[in-house]
Amino acid sequence: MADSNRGYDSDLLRGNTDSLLLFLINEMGQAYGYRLIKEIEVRSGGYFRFKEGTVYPALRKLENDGLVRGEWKKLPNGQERRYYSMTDQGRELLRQKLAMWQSFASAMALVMKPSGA
Amino acid sequence: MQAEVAIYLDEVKTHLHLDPDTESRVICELYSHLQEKVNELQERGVSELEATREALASFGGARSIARLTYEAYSRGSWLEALISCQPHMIVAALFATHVWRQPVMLGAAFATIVLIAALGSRKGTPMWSYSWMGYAVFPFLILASMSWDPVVRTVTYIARGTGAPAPVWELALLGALCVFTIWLVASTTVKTAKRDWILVSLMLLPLPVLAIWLITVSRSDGFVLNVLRSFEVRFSRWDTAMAYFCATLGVASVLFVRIRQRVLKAAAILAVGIVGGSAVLRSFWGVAGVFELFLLSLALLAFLTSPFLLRTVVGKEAEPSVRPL
Repeated sequence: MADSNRGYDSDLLRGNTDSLLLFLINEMGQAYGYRLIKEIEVRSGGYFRFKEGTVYPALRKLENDGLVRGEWKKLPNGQERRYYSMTDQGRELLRQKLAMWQSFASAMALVMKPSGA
Repeated sequence: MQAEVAIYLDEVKTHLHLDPDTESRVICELYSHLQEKVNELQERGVSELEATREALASFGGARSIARLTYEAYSRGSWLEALISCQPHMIVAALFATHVWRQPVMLGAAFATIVLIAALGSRKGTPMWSYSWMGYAVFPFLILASMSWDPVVRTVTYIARGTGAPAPVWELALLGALCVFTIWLVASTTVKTAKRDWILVSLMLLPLPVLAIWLITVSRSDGFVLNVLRSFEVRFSRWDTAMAYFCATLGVASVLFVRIRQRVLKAAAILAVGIVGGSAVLRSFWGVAGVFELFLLSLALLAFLTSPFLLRTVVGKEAEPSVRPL
């Protein structure tokens, strides 16, 4: 999902895309694909850059797994847009993923701390 | 913007291979995204052409987006997988219990299969319905094969000037049945091929073996007489092989529904169709040599991949990619 040559292993981001999307949808209440991509870009200071079309298959998988709910809404200009919101199952999974991520990041930081520091 | 985006979305759509409703929802969502991106870039002072190109470049290659989208949508639930394998299991049970010789049970089983296939067709032909559709054409093929001989005989008699051997209305009815069967098989195949050739292969999976079995059984006094001769044992020796074959097809259809990747879906049905089909046909004909077995496998491979050629011939229905606002 992530561009290569961005200074990180794209597999690392690919493995955490679900967490990023779930976190943002949970925080924003309701969000659509384009808004999510912009939000990730802004929050990461442009560090995470996606091939934008790949976010939709990822959202679809979350929807298939019952973690988010998609809903079409008609805008005042007549255009239709699909909004995603969290399900209870999604919130529960996000809570677990956050806890796991925090423990993992802390442990990584402890291990990878330069020995002289 | 419209032309370049439409071309891009058309390419995505060509490689999506999803049902029309899902395709139009996917395309609508992608279009909405691209439109928003172009508008945003234009507000920053970028020209429309440049904005469109930038939006498309940052979106990703059409084929790769189509592949990822297909994989996201193509996996059916376990329930769908279970429904999909049922027609194979029903036919396997007919062979395993030799019940195919009982006209009432045979009729009831195929009436159920035709009914469920028709129901699937009305529901927008979900993935589980293709295995039902494959078996649903079989009773029509039986009827057509039974009608074929009298029709040909009549045409020959009329050509010789000796008159028709049966009332004309009966022959007209039988002829109409043959034409209807050919139309049913052809129209279903072409319609399915327009969506995805792999679905045609899934649908036709049991057909070569069942057709050869039917021809073999019919050669000896005709299918009806063999059905009615419940003590006839000549053909019973193939029942076990046919039952195993159909059950294996059931497993293949479960894999087909549950696997996400197109290439693996195709591999699952081709492998089972070729290996299973060759094994059963070998028991029919007593084919023993490696070369004969190779030729048999090659013929089955050609049959199961022929929908790919059909797909390139019939193409895809030309529909506007972008839903009108």
